[in-house]
Amino acid sequence: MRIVIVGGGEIGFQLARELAGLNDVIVIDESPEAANRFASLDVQVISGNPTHPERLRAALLRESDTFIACSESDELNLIACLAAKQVAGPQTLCFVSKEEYYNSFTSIDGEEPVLAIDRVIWPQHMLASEIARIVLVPRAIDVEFFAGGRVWLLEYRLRPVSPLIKAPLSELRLPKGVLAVAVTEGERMSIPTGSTRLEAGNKVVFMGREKALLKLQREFIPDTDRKVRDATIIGGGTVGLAIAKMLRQGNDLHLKVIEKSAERCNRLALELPSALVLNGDGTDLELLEAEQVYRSDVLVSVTTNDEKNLLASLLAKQMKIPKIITRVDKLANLRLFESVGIDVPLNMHVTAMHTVINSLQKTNVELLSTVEHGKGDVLELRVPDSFRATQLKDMRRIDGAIIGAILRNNQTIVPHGDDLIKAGDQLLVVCTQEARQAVRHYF
Amino acid sequence: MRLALIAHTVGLVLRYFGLIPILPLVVDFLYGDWQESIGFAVAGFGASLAGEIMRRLHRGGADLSRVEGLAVVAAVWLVVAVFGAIPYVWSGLGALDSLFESMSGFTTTGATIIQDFGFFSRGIFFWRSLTQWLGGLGVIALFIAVLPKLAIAGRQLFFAEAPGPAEERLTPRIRQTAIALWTLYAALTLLQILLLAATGLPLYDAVCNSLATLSAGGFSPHPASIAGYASPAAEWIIILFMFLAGTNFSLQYYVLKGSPRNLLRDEEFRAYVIIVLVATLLLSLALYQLTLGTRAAYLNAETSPQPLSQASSLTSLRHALFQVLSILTSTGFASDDFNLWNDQAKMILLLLMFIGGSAGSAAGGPKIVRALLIVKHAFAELFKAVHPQAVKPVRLNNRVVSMEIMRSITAFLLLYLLVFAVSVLVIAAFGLDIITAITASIATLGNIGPGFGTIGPMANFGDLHPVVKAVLIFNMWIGRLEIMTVLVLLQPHVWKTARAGD
Repeated sequence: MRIVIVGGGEIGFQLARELAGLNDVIVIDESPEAANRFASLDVQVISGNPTHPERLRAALLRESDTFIACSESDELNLIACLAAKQVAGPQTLCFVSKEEYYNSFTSIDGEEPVLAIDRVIWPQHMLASEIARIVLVPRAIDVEFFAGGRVWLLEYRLRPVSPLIKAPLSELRLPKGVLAVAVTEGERMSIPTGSTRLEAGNKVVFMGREKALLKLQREFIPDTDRKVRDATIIGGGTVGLAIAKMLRQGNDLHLKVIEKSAERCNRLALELPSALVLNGDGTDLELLEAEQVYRSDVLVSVTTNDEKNLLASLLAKQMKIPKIITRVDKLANLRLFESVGIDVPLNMHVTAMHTVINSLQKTNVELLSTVEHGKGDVLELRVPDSFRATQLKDMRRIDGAIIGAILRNNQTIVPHGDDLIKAGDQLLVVCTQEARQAVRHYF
Repeated sequence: MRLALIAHTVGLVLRYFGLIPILPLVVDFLYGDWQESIGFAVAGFGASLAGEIMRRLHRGGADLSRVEGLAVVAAVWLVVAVFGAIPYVWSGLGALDSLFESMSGFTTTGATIIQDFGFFSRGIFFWRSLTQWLGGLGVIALFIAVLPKLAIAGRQLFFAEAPGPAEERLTPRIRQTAIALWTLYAALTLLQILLLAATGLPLYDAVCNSLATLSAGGFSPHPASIAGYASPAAEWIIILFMFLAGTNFSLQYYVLKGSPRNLLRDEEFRAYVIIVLVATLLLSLALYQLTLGTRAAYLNAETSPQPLSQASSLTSLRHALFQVLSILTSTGFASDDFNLWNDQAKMILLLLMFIGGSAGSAAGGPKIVRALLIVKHAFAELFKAVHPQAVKPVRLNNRVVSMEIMRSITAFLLLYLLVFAVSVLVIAAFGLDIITAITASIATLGNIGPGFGTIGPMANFGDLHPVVKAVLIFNMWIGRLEIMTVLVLLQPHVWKTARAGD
């Protein structure tokens, strides 16, 4: 498949790297320097304005091509998509950063969007909703909801005081309806079995029904009895504002937003009437202390500057704030952030990138989410109608994959070996990167 | 500042203003006072003639600058009051007294210098009420509605005259806005006339009192004001219409268009309702206390001296509500001689004088929205003392009020109090007591009408020293134009650019 990527920035590069293996990738970037960045990849780089019809005609050949606009300018992305559609009619994916554009180019009240953009991707919003979910669950470092909230996914980092490290998983008597689906030790993610013994410092992903997970939280995760009541957000940009708005919806939560630009503060104060909007620097220790930020249950640092976020997060760490969520824009920095003790470093490109890659694959498998910065996928598989009901233990195994939940009509089954898999079931599968292809082609 | 252009624009208005005195002239003719009607003919003819001469000073067509617009508005209100005073002069009042009465009419103040009501014709009392009715929504707004020619220059004039800090328009064209507001205003007035007539008030009194209610004016043809009719039904009707007169007309227009949300969600309207309810409750309690104690307070002192102690609690409530609305909306009607009430009751009314009605209504005073914003601003500052870096903008109806507007409101209130203070000092210098000096100043500055002391609702301003009268005339004029319009023009440097031609 021929894929044209507009914009050779961070996300363009990551996309090209992921896609170049199986596809012909052409990158169009306005600046000539972009070519140097892509030197290590087997892709063609064209420099120039990506909305130029001649340039587009040269890059795009037929309708089955894919056009991904992910430059830093929303306007350029939108116009490039329109121009591309006109030139060759490819499938178009458009990245936007502003809420206004996202709203105007996605369907309103179920009506199809008028404009020729097949998919609008708003990474800032994906990041914001991810953070908003994580903020509200004490101690959790990743929170996902599937099947309309029937299935939850929670990830915890195990501390030395955790009761989960005392015995192998099969002897722990975890609540019914909960499965440990992934364990990350250092850089490696694996799928645990009954004999796996968890250790302090491991990050464990649990999947299961809402009530069961809440029970798990009560019984096995220390210090989770206190509700999240006080949160601080550093950086009131698109992401910060979106998080604040999501958190304000129906939660009794004291919210502080610290933003450097006075002008932006006015906008924040307008949109967040009940939050405390502070005009200042998130790394200003005096301000943090005067406003008693150390009393927060969660601190979220989402400025557009990685260094600022790191510094603010380290200050917060020193103030012993229980949970610190930090935005990391450069993927290369992710590991560093984690190694200095940031609880939840998040990169908005990871989720967006996997969404793009998933939408390019034409199978009956849907990517619902990723865990551990893309080390693992949460996939939804539909069992084909021709499939004969089989007990789980009798099914062919894939190393590095586990069924976390079975959705059958309105039922949610957290499976054991004796449970049946039937035609028409929706399976929620957690798998490692290596097992991804095998899972996709299982049926 | 091009004086000829200003005169030209004032002339445009004045020329047609000359037609208005025909109405009281007809009234006098109907009641057979034809010799009195000549005063109206002189006023009307004089205004038209002067207007035509002024109009010819400039060929017109030029755009008014901001300060010229303010000058036009200030001049129109002054000139109109001068020509409106001619009928009073014809009826035998002195020139200063006539100007006082005329200015009190057009600015919807309702303070009177008339000592003997029996001395004047029906046409005069109709004229008094009519001037208030015209002044209620604004003389210029009326002419913008009626004259297409004024519509272009009218935008800034309209807003310089309209009460309140914010520019509000219902339609894209200012002329349509003016027409919509005047239609609503006229319809409400007609409704009140019919209702009052239905309670048995003579048609003439129903008309005059209605004209003075919707405009929040307060001139009544009865020397004892509304108390003189001794009709609780009429008082309830007037209570309702005073309430409407103090409510933003634009929002009432939306209610008629089928969206009452705008009104019910409006923070100023809510504050207005709360102020009315709380003040009424306090005043009722104060009046009720009077009935328990031995201190003398009299109900309907003029007509039937009956101690309030014999009144029912519903009567106390009615008088409390009536007087709260009358003072808050700057109408100035009296359902009872509140000058005889005790100090506790009077104190409540005095404080209400410093608030006023809603912006965009016929009411005078500093306006509720300004008080509301300044209070919000003060609380935001208190909050900021604890959180110095917090961004806490003042909001109104879910919108942020800009710092510029907050600054202009602060300046407005400061200047308002400054003008008040200076006029109190001047009045006190002429030997009036504190209560009279204070209430005379605020009652004229806020276009309310009667005060306490020697200028109570059953008394009049006739015995005051001429200088005091002049100060009060100035107060009424500057108060109706919300102070800034006139004060801008009083700055000497504004006049440095003044020239006769263009």
